[in-house]
Amino acid sequence: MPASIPLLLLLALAVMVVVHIAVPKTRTILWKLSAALGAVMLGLLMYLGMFYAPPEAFMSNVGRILYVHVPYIWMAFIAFLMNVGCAFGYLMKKSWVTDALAESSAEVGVLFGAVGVAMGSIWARPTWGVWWDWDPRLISTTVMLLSYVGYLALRSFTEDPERRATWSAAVGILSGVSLPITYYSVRWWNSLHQVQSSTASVDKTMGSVLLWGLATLLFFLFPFIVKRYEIARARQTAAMELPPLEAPRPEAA
Amino acid sequence: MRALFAGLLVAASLAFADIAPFPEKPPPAVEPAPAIVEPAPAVEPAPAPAPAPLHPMGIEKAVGSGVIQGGWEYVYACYALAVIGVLGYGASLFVRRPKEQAS
Repeated sequence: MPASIPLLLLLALAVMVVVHIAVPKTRTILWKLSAALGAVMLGLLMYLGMFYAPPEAFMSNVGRILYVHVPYIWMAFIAFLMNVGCAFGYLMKKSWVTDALAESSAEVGVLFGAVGVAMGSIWARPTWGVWWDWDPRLISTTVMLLSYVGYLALRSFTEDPERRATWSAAVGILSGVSLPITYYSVRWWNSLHQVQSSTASVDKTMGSVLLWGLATLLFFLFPFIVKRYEIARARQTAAMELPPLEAPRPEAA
Repeated sequence: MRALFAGLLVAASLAFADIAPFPEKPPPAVEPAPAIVEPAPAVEPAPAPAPAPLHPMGIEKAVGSGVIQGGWEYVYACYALAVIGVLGYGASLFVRRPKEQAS
């Protein structure tokens, strides 16, 4: 399979995202189309990853795990980067849209990150001999995930929407500090984990399957963020309509 | 407020920087102990390892020696997790959809 096929799909997805933002009428259709394409591509990814791609030179068939593990972690990074961007955006110009986008991207990022780490643990058992090791990459990834879980917990514990938005934007920026640390941990410290995977450092067939995995999960990331954003916006609206918790005290005469 | 955020950012950076290991001192040189020569015990031939389960499509034929053999159960588990992850989260979004969309 030439690498141009997943690249073309990525281009198609970028066009869909732009149209979704620019043309509000298409917002009820494009996320469904993206999810449907993602489902078909996921089925194909299972075939490509398990049967089409050649075995890895040292890890053999266990190396096939990387075609799903690596794209899952990439999705987590993309979602967390979006969260940091929205957090900065909210602090510069207060908007419920950026606040809702920050919430949705954090939750989607935690989902992809948690599943990606679980896959990494399964991969580590046959390759490292252990399910888990206190390695710099694994520690920094755990800290990153926990910081975003804390971000989501802070949001659910804070009642006042405006305070919640401001505080969570600050925590989102603080959590964003863990992103470069996690990314560069394999280079900064002696890590058992291999350095970053890239389509340029592997065989062409492997690279195209890895790109296919990236495109597949991006087709899911888009509808996930759109639908989670709608939930966040509905919650914001409901919170605005709520009466104050305490009735105003009558002023003393 | 901005100064507070800047202070928190610096504090977080310092906290993460603390994870960096300090350079270790080289261990002191140890004199080797005198070698004790003992007759080697008789070694029984180890039983041949059980062959790894073959994949139905015979992909193992392409795998050379000196690499991890088998491991398909881990591959299946990860791909199942990949499907469960997206389908499960999709289902959770459907369950939590706003009321006006549900009606």
